[in-house]
Amino acid sequence: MKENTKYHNYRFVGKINVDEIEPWFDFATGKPWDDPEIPWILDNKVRREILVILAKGPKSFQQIYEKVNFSPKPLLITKEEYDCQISYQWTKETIENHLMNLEWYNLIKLIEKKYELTIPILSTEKSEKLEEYIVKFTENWITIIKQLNNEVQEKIGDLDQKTPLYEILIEKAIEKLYDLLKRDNLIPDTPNIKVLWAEQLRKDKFEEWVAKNY
Amino acid sequence: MNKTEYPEEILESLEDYNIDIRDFLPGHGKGAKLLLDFNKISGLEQVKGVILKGREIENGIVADIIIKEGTKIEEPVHLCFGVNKETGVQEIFTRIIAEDNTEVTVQAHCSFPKANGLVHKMFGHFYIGKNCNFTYSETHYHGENSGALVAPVGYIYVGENSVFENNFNLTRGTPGKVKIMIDIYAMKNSVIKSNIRAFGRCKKDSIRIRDSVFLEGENARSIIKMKAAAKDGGEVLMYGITEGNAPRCNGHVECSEIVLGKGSICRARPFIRAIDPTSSVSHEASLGRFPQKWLDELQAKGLTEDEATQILIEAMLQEE
Repeated sequence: MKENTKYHNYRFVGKINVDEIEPWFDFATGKPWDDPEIPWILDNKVRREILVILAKGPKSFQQIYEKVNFSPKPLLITKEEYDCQISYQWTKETIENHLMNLEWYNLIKLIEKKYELTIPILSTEKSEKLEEYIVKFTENWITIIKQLNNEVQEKIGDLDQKTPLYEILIEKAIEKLYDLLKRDNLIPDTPNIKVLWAEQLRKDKFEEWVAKNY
Repeated sequence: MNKTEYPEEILESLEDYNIDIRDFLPGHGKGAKLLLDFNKISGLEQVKGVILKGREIENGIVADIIIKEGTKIEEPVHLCFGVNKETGVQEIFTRIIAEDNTEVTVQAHCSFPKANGLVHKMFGHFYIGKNCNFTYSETHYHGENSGALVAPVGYIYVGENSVFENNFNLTRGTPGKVKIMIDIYAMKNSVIKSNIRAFGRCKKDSIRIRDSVFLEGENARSIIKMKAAAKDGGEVLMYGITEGNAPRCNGHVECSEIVLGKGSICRARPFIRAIDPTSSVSHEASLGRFPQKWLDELQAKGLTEDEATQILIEAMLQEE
């Protein structure tokens, strides 16, 4: 059975850039076996939170320490009905461990006593501005796909009916597109960690949904 | 509430677990209660020290449960998420806050006796304060047809000096497709015990459970015990993660899975990480069949191999 987890939709284009499939690659993914799509480093919410904090600009250890804490809010019960007294604060030692971890994996670096990201993180605000270009890119691809449809069917259309021909073609074309754009320096050769964007998006959208409905 | 107000099929559905849901209904016992009949709140009872509020939404409910500071209740808070339909979508958004110095057990029953394509989703957040003793037990039954698609996600934060116990039980009926993800963050001196038990009985069953404990506070301790069986084409994946991020924390992941009949698949993925140099994290996993010696001993008492295996599975899924 094909694994179909929530991570399946994320593309992690990591540091390793190898053109040919090497014998030690994972057979299923065709990628290095020790470099999964989503690195385990991002399993932990605290580390994701630190990266989201740093997405707003470089921060000192003290600034990060002060921000990595929270107090929960109920969804329906108002502050007048109940005022939550619980709060969670991570200790300096634990945050230090997380920061060293993030540094080891080259996701952040310490410059003049401030931590900063080494990777771009897309904010939800920016994602809305991207929409126009997402539509333009898609429309152009559709035009190309329609133009080449007859040729594709003629040459490779005799594949098994069950083969998702266009799914494979699009997947491979996007991979190729990444490679070519990187080669021409049109996109940076750095990890594209969409999971962080998803984390921020989920949080914002959920809060927004609660605020709107309740 | 009398029994006619809640579907009889649901009330009787956990008999194989030796649970009678009637014992937990409003009017029975002293615990707080929230009853859901598909997407309709059909019962809500509060007790002193517990604030319980729920609101129906298009495909389910949003619910808050607050255990006020210092509240110690012997009777469990009962949550019943029942669906007496074959199909439909039930979505639960819960937020449970247990303030400091509280002692409480939350007993959740998720019963879908007629499920045949039903979808049950949950997005829960549990916030447990300092010096608490919190137990969350969830028992599932997805009927005998083709089960349900069940996809709960839980984020649990356990405060200083607190004990959190999680018990998940899905060992009766046909589970269907189950994808559970739980992330537990353990603060200073807290203790986490997580027990997962699941049984995939046929080809329609795919049970994948990811249970993670992040030891974020000094001296935090945890144990994840995952026990599962897959039979006649069923599939089980137990993914136990423990991460030692704080000084002197200690965690263990234990996984036992039994594979029965051709076409069944058991997988275990214990993933442990030690990040603090004074932390200690370990794991053990065993998959496959029961030792022949155990089977021989039971067969010597006159049981067939199938009966002996069945007894051993029952014993494994029930043991502490």
